[in-house]
Amino acid sequence: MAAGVIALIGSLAHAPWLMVAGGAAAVPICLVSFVGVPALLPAGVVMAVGASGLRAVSTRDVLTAIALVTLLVGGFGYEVLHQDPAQWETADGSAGSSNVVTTTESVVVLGAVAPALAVAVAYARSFRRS
Amino acid sequence: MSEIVDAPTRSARTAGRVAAVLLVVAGGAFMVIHAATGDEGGPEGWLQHLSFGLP
Repeated sequence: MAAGVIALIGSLAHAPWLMVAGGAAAVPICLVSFVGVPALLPAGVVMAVGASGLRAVSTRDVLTAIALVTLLVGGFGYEVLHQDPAQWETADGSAGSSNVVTTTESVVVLGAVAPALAVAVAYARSFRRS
Repeated sequence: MSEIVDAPTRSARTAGRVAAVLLVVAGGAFMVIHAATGDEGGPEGWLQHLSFGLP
């Protein structure tokens, strides 16, 4: 969702690099589950449209993209890859899972997404002024 | 600084905007599917479902 919001900010602010970064962050997230595979198409479209509007790429652009992708993919990757097995009681007995999403992981994700959105907004604002 | 030289055509801009919205919708779908397929009585709640689709 945040990757799409970042791409949308890039589209609305005419900041094509944000579209590229948003799409790039979405790709590995979509690949985690087959449910996300269809979303690879819009991710590719936003990257292509963003890339078509670029000529020069500055250090600031690259650093912004690295920060955005690292925050979103890193947070989500931690949530998915960090193994947290759990067992619990049900009405019929007990159930379990090899990997549940814990509150800590959720907070890590929230703590990664918030600054990513802040960076995207700050970049878009500075892009409009320049 | 990135420069817009050959600005995308209006149709390309629209396609990019629609695609970005679809990515947002996909994130929401991730949340809903994660919630719908979650183990009943399990330890995951709304915060966990939210964080799964948020990035």
